Amino acid sequence: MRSPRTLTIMLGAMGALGLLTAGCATTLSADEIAEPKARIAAAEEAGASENPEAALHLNLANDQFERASKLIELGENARAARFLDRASADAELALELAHLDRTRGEARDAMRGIHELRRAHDFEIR
Amino acid sequence: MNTTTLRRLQILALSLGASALLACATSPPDQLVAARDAYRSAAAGPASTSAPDELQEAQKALARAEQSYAGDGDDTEVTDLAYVAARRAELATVIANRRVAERRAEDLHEQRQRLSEQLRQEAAKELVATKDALEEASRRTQDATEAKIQAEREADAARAEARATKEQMKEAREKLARWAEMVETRRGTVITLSSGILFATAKADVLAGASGRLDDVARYLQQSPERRVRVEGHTDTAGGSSYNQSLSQARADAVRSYLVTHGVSPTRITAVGFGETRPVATNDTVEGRANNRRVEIVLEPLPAPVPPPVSDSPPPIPDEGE
Repeated sequence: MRSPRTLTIMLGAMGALGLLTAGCATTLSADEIAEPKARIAAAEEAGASENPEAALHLNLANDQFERASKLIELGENARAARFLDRASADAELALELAHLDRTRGEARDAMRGIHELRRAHDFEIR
Repeated sequence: MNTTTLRRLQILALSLGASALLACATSPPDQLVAARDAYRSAAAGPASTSAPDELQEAQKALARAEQSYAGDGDDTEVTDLAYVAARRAELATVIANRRVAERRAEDLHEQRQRLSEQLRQEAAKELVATKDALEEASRRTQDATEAKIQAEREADAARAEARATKEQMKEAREKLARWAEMVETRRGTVITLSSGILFATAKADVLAGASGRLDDVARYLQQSPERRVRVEGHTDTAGGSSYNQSLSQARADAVRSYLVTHGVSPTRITAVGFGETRPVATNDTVEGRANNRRVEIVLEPLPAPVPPPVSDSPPPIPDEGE
């Protein structure tokens, strides 16, 4: 996997050679490439790989980012940009699914805490 | 970049341009249908209330996909845009659910804190109540101990008083017994005083020197205030019976008077003269006659208690001190 910097240089070179199509997406900025990668990292950090549903979307995000990179190498920037968008969307979903899982876990813990308090209190009374 | 890549890029550029001329497909791609369903589903769920902004983003994404479909966007573009739209719709739902879960977690957290505080307060109250109960019990124990000590003290005092009284009685009795004749009879306690100590010959005035002895008798009689006293005057046979009768009565009265003026209650003491009628010794000898010339002070025994009347049998007649 090429680093975003390498790709940018490549794109810049391709642009200079006039090989980028004039269409929906023209040049891809370093930010546009870095963004989905950052979202993927965030999702991983949030523990997306531990949750099946989140892991699924994390994998999709990674695959689509790879696809985008390949498309950039092939000069298909428009398609590459859309795949970057897809990768971002999946990464964001993976992140939020990880958060949801964690928050539900917190709610469960809080509920358990209440039960334990009640149990301990009743035990003392008896 | 090498020639092969360059060439490949050129071909790609051309093919991209060519494909741009292709018209859009007539039926919507599966991904777009899926995206529409995804949005509908999200809009019908918690996202409408808990994630409205994210839902709106999903709607915009869907609109872009629809626009592409309606316009001259190729299938891949529509598919890509629809894919993103579907993800955004799911995202809105997930974010909504997370917010709901967050609120619930906060609510439960607060509940737990309230419960913990409530239990802490209850425990504190119980502690105070237990402390109060302990203090109360301790106070009661203390009071009981003090009462016990007080009762013991009083019992000791009563015992001491009883002992003192007994001592006093003993003392009075001993003092009296040193010079008086004291005998327990069925009549009661009989103290015999010789007339020679109390009176001058043929007189009925108590000699000054006898006052000490009579004081001893008075003290002794005061120890048993509930017992009646009878002063009896006796003589020998010399002088004639009627003379002896009046002398003995006068002398008995004199002794009674003295005793009454020295603390003996008048209502309990009587005086009677028996003259020469009750000798205790022979009148033929000097000694015998001396013995007959006497005053007897009788301390009557307490009357026997009368039992309560029973319906079947008549009440028994009480014995009055024989």
